[in-house]
Amino acid sequence: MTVECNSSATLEISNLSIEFPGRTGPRRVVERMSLTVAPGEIVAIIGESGSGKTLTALSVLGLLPRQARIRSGSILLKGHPLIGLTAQERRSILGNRIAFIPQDALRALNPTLIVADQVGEPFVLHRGTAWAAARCLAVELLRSVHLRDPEQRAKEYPHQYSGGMQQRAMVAMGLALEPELLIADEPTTALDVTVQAQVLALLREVREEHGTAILFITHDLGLVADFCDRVYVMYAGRVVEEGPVEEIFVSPRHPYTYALLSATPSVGERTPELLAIPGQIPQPHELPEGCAFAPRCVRAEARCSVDPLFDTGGAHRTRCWFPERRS
Amino acid sequence: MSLSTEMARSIRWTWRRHGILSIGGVLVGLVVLAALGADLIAPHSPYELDVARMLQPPSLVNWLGTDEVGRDVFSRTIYAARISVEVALVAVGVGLVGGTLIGVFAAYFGGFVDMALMRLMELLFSVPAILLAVILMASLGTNILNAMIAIGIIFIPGFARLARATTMDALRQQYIEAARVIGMSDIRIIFREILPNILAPSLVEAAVAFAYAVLLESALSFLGLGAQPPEPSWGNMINTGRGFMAQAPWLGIVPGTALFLCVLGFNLLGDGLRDLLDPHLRESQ
Repeated sequence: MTVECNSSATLEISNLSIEFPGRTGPRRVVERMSLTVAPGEIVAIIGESGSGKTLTALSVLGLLPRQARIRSGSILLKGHPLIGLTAQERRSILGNRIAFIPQDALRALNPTLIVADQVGEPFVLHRGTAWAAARCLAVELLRSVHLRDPEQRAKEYPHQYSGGMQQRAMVAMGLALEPELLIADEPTTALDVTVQAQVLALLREVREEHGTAILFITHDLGLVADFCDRVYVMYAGRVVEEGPVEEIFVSPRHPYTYALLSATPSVGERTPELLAIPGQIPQPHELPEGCAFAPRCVRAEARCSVDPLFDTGGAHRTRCWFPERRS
Repeated sequence: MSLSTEMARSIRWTWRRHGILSIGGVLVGLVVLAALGADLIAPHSPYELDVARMLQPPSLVNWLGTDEVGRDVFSRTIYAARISVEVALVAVGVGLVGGTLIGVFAAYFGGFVDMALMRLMELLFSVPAILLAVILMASLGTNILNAMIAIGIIFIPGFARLARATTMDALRQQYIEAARVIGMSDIRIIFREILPNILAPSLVEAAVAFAYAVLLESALSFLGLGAQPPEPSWGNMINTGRGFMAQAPWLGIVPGTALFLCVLGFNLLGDGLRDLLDPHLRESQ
């Protein structure tokens, strides 16, 4: 096994392809995905459902569905490969160096255990801490995520918590061992807007204090604009555009990104009706030749039947024959 | 409002909500009390022969009469409860633990493990219970311990199927994924995350299985495969009573009634528990 240590990125995914077996041959759901997250950086993967964003996250965690196969590519955590680890090696990394914050915190907490026992569990698992000590550490963690009255609350069951508190508990559990990478899969979709803001503020605080890299998976453009440093736009299993958030929001180059941004209503601008992108995301087995977005693209023409490569535009790159230029 | 009407109201309310559960609870309580306190409750020894007083009808001395060798039927019926509860407890324990583990492992590991384990369970299921018990007793030898094991083995497939279904459901829950994500091992996930979450339906099933275990034990003892004389068991007492139905009907009727009430009690308790644990029923009431 070769170990590359020349990388400064916390997470580096390169050329990752994921396939599912299908009746007419393998269906490629993620196609040559590359992504990097630097320490202390908040990176978003944005895309519709079915765009492959969640599968990408699951492949980092090694929790892809049984049928899924990684066809090519590598995933490196601080230069160490994550693909091909034994179950035991993987377990020693999960919860320890990589943490995951799921979408629905209530369903992610075990209803039969008190919160302290769940938040403290990583200490017992990875550090061999005694349960009594782990519970005390759990109380401290709950305090650090600004849960009120943590001593009392730690002894309660998850269903006694409000939605925001449950998500805070999940964040606390994720942060227990100060991981280098935090993967958050739409962590705020189930929450009220105000609570959502609190949880995001908490995540930002975590980044500032511990230099944790955060991979943020979402379909909410508003969140990305407020919260993230860089963004990867995914469509039908491919990254179609990547770059710093400010640039992508101000001058999107790929027609898909442009359409996504125009489809999001904003306060102040009155649009007569909501804009929608015609058609829907193609299934992996009916992908068109060439650019996957071409059938829905207003600008598509003949050469779009050849898959475009990334342009060489530095930090802001796109995969399109006509990088859109907005005046 | 006076205290008594308030009490009456609260009793009525409890009755409407938990009627079945309370009848079951009382009957089961009586059986357990008889089993635990047999030495204190029984007025006579269950083994003491008195040939001078055989086949006596119920009287002040022998409340429920005496049997063909002059033993007190009431005392023997009470001691028999002890055997029944013991056998049922061990048998249901074997079935619950064995079946639940098999079901959870089958569902969790899936694939070949699942197929092999569940086919084995179906094989066990396909043999009629009493026949299976007789076969097992014939190969293990007839004593009460083997009766416990045989009845327990009969229960394993039922518990395994139930646990497999509930585990399948639990596996779809996100807390299992969350447990994997913090690096828990499979065994730890099974014991810490899955088992506590699937236990409720299995326990309800256990209460119902308990009734069936008592019945099976009596059936085996009736056939002479369970408790061996002079050990009293409802089954072998009923078998004896069969021969004296015309002269001394209490010989069969007393243990028969005890068996009936015991089985009824555990069934009602099981039904009541199911209603209590089912959130849909709870809310609609």
